[in-house]
Amino acid sequence: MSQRRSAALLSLRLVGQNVALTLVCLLFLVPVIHMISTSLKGDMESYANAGLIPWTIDVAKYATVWQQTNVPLLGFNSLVVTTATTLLVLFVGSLAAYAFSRLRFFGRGPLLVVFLAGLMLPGAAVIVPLYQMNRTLGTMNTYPALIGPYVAFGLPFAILLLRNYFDTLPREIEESARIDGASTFAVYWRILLPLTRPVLATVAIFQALAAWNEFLLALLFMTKAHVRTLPLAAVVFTSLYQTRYEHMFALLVMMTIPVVALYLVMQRHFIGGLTAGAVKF
Amino acid sequence: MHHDSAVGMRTAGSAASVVWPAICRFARRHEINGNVLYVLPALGVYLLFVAWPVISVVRDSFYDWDGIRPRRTFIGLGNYAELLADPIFLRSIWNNLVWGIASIAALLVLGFSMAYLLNGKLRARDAYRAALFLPVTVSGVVVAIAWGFIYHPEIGLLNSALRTVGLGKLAAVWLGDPRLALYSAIAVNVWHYTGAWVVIYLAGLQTIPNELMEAASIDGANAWQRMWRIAIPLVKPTTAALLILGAIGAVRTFEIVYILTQGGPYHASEVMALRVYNLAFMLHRAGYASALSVVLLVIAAVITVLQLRLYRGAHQGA
Repeated sequence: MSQRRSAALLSLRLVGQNVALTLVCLLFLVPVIHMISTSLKGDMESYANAGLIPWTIDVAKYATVWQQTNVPLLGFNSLVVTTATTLLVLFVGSLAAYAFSRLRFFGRGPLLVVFLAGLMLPGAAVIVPLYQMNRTLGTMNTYPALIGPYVAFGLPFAILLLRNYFDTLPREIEESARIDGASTFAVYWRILLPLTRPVLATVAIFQALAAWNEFLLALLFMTKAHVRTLPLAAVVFTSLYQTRYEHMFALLVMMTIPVVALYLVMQRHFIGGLTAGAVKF
Repeated sequence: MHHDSAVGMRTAGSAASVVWPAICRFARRHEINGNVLYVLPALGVYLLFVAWPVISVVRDSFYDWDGIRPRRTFIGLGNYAELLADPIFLRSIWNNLVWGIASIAALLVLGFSMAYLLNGKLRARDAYRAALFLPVTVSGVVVAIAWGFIYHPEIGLLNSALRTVGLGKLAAVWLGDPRLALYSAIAVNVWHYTGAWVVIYLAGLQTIPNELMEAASIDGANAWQRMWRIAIPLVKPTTAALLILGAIGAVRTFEIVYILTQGGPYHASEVMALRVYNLAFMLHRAGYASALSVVLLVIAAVITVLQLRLYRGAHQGA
């Protein structure tokens, strides 16, 4: 009797839990649905129809926006900056993490502290000198103007995460290779790095997302149209499409599709990347 | 002569044979070796794009300078003195504080409660989690532009929805009202990051052994008590980490405010990062902006120290 009642209570709780979660999730998805729906509405329809369901569906404007804003070029710029940043952080960061975990050298402790000091650096605090530096070096409106700072800002987190992971790998793994005459670099490249793949994926996703979405430095250093990245272009074209919300939102949807697609495919790593930042380290 | 040079050579040889091993010994004792090469690429990038700018910004903060012409005047602590009496700067600190506290409070409550609900044996857990996490992957720029339209006073979704359900009285000029602008922007920030907090809390909750909850349940603790007496105390390390994440997030806030309100109206929603940008690149006061940058760096440094201390504590505890 009491068992049956507690079972009923349990299933009632489960239903309540599901209802609450479904409601909250739907509420959270409203802005996303609104974005897609607005992008599908007919030209200027938003002035009459503020709702989530379009009266007319106009997909043709996607093609117009694609051409007018030159999405392929913007996407290419974003892709170059993101790929270069991610690969450099992975390679340069894992090399340093390997040294901090396994090798002995002069200044090891203080150097690690120097890197960790940059863990929380707010980009806005260094925009004045970085801007001057780009002017002096003539790197304004070039990819390195973004890639350099992005890599530097990403290194502390990458080094911390990778060093911690290297520290958990037993040294016996590499000792036999050492005895067989493997060089220091071979131990890193052929033994430790392959074992670190999950953490590398985490760092990669984290960096790629940060670089793909970064706005402040792009706003300052990429003033010419042909070097703009997607987030910057979105802001520029917002003023172009000022009152034509449907066009504006078509651009936003196109900007977001690659990231969301990547997220849906690699959910585990996305979530791992964010959790790693707070829990593991 | 012949003899002398032979002696010289011998002494030179013996000097080298004494000095060289000494150098080697010194190098070995102090671990000066080729291993440092593994750190050099990272160090080079880091020194150029982080360390040097940090040093420069401290130096620049002592000058009166427009950031355009090379001419600049040393004014010592003049910029800092001006900061202390600058109501717009003080307002930006206050706004950042409100931003941090309100965001963190909302994210803690939402993040924990959602994670707690998700922590059971739910068939659709992954779907819920995916839905909540989706906004985290969307760029701040897209989020801000999309919400800017939702907040539109006449044709925005929010006011239209309020009018439709008969709550037209609550409709407001969300971004144009100086009393509301900051909070409207904070709401967007909370929406953007809730998913991250849920996922992080969920990871923390999953470290709590099931038996513990079951045992408490058998001892007569109800769901509410289990949450307050067991779950919340046991995820304290996660909560601490999230507090730091929230604090640094507040200090870094830029594009949401830049796009939604430009810091307005009347600086009502201007945060420090945006103030630095406006001072340096709109008002051409690069020296003064550098002084504000230094304040930002000091705040970030305090947060970093807390972070590393927490991290070390967690590792010693483990």
